[in-house]
Amino acid sequence: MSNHVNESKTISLFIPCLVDQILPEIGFAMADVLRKLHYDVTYDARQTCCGQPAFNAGHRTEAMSVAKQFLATFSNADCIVSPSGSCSAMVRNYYPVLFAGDEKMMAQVHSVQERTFEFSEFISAENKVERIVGHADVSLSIHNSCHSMRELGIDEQIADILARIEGVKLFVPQVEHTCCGFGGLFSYKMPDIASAMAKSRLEAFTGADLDVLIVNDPGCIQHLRAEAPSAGFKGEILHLVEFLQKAMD
Amino acid sequence: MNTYAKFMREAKSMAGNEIHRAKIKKAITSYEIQVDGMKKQQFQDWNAAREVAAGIKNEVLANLPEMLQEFEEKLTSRGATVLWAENAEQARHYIEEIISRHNARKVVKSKSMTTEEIELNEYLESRGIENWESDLGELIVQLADEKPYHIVTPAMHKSKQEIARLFVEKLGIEYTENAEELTMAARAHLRRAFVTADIGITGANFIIAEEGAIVMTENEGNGRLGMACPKVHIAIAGIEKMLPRLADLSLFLPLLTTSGTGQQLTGYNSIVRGPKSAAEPDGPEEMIVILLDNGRSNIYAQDHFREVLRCIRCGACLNACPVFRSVGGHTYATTYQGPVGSIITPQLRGMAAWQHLAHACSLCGACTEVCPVGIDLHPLLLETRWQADKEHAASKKWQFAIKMWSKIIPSRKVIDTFRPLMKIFLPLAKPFLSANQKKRIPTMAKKSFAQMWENNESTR
Amino acid sequence: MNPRDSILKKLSSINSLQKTPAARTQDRQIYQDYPEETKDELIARFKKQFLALAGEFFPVSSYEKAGAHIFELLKSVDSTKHLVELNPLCQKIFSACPELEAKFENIENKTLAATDFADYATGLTGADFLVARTGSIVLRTNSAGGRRLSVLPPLHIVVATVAQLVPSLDAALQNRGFREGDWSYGTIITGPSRTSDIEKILVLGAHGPKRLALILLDE
Ligand code: SF4
Repeated sequence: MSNHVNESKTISLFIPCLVDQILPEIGFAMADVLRKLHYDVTYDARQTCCGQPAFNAGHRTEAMSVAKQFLATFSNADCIVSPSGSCSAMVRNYYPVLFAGDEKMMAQVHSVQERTFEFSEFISAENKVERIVGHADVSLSIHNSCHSMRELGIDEQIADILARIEGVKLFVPQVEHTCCGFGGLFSYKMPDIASAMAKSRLEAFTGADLDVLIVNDPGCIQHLRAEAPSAGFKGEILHLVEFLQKAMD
Repeated sequence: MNTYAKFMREAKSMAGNEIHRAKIKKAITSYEIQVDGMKKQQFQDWNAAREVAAGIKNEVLANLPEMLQEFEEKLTSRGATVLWAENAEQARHYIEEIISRHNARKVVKSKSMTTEEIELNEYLESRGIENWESDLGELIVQLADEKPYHIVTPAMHKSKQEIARLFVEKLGIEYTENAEELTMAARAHLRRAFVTADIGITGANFIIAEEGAIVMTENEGNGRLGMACPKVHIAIAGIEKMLPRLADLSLFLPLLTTSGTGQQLTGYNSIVRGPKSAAEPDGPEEMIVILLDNGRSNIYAQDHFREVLRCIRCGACLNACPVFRSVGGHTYATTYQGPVGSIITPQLRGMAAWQHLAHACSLCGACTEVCPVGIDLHPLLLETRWQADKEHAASKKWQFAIKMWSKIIPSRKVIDTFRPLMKIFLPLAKPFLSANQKKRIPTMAKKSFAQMWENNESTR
Repeated sequence: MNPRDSILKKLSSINSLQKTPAARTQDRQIYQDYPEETKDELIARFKKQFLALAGEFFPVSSYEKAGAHIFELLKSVDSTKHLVELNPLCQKIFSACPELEAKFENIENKTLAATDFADYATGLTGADFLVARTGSIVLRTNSAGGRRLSVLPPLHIVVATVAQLVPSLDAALQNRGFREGDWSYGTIITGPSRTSDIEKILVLGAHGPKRLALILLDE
């Protein structure tokens, strides 16, 4: 990690397909927050998806054609930042698996890989956490996505960022982290298991009477919002950047 | 009903079973507290322990044929017999031959997943051989006419009330919910079987090349009794159970036990080097070790999957798995449940019938995080899905959907053309879906991010 | 082809394997670090572990005291029949307490079927090693009078000396003497028999001895 703050960095938004089609507000919130932190932000509409849905379902041939499109779009980007730990992990950890053995593609993978970040990780690595100022009188807790936590090793970063917002009361659940049950196509193929997992996960938060549950992956958000009513979770489920966007106003 | 349909039906019923969920949550919470405490108490660097263990197991895999021969040579030099079984049928055949040679009527068995794998219980029963499961957990599932729920804790799903009712019915005891009284009832029930059995059958947690020994780890002493009383001892071990040297146990025993039950060491870790020797007062006159392949060599032949043979069957990945916790062990309908079972079962028993297990996973990675021998479990589940796709064993419906998707998704233009159609189509699909499917059909945004961005930026 | 050759042939047909030996535990800092421990520290560590496992621990400084403890232990059980593997240490204890010798039958002088053990309350054996870090007792058939004596009777009494104490399991297994000798069976005993198969509730005395007692002699 360098302490050198490069104000001139331009950020290419990496907008996951789910955000593009279903939750665009998350994309705008991230762009807003990054601009508030004085970054230049660009967006290239040729990007559509990183290929993860096909890859995770085992259809690597199809994933490959989508991933190639992704690599081409971002070949000249300065910094690639996404509001999804899962999609960032796809590029960083699984493109090398997808393109293993293809030397030409691997060169592209390595170059894009190095410049790809999840939002909270990026802000922390850039030492910009201190620059976050805001206010919100809420009680909240964090659901760090599995891929953000286990594939990218994001841990304290989210809490550190939230600690910058005055008025936040952070609730830390007793139980260890478990998956919310999203898992991409998994939750469509095995909906009953996915629902039971969401229920188990939300149980950790229901007793605490939270205003907000902060989540850092759009997939988890969509899934948890669908499951919250039947699991009896009453708080709002927001992406970290959505929360910051409001709190930093 | 095919294996997939059966899995889906069971999964649905278990996922909605709140009583089951509460029981498993209780058991696994107490397990997790024990394991965390023991890891800290014992290990300064758990990750280093895992790395060394993985390295030793890789050494085993690299030298497996040589080590198996060394094991055979050393063990037979002390008078034991080593038999090699390519599949379950051969293994059962060997056992049948031993039983009839000794004219045996009564067998006492200690907990062994390998015997489950070759369906030994069913086989012995069909031959009219008295077959006593002697591990308490195994006894409970045997009396309940069930299969083990979990590779390490076979009766994890049973409450003490259920066990009490079972013992009242099958062992004729007075109703009691006291775990100690129930255990003593099992002790009394089995004691006579131990001292009168003709043959003791055990598994092996490890087999040692350098020493020509098998190693059995247990808490109850039933394994020890099964190897001390009957005149014949048969041990069945998968060929991957190998360790190079005896001293490697000083890492693998604590590793297995800490991950398996959160103990430092189990009550008894027995090292068996042969039948009774001339100078010894007791012990089996005959010892036979059956080395079981049963598909393992097929896994071994695949560079991508070989590492799963490092597995020491500690059960940690089952406990960590949120899918296992939701659907329970029986839903898998396999000998080995949970993440590791979902990887090896398609390899051992056929991709087409079992690949759905690899899809019953959200790829959360909790299994990979806990595995004491560092197996990349969730990447191997992904690898299994890819293999199913390559072998055209994957679901046709999804295969087609993804094909279509991959035609549309790389092009912004095509997406924008299809968007309005999707917005109409998605709500129309709802009446055909179950409640749990319906609620996660998303509402498409009015416009895509790309469309909105273009509008915004042009007015900025 | 017979099954053996066919399995070995399949396994041997893979060439992509690296046959280099792996690192061992000694090469890495894995376990909690214990500085070189004095004899007393080792005893203390063993005691702590052994007691935590519900073992009954009797440190003694003379054969007479050892005998007295064994005597007390015998009083605590129902039956009056007891078996011993008469190793040199037991012999010395018996010579110091002649009335004790009469209580025991020497397993070497008997031919017992497995069913005959039902009458005996106690098995008295020696040990090969005591492992301080885990509170374990390591036995082999030659020190334990075979396989049955240490597992069938409900009370297992072990006599050992401080010289048999080693810091870790590794030290016991790496000991040159351990692998030698004509023994067919050895076991690392860590506490009395137990189970947690019913709702994870710990119960002692599942199938093996319900009680495990150690007389540790420091001469
Ligand atoms: S795969 Fe790993 S965690 Fe799972 S049972 Fe095997 S050794 Fe244990």
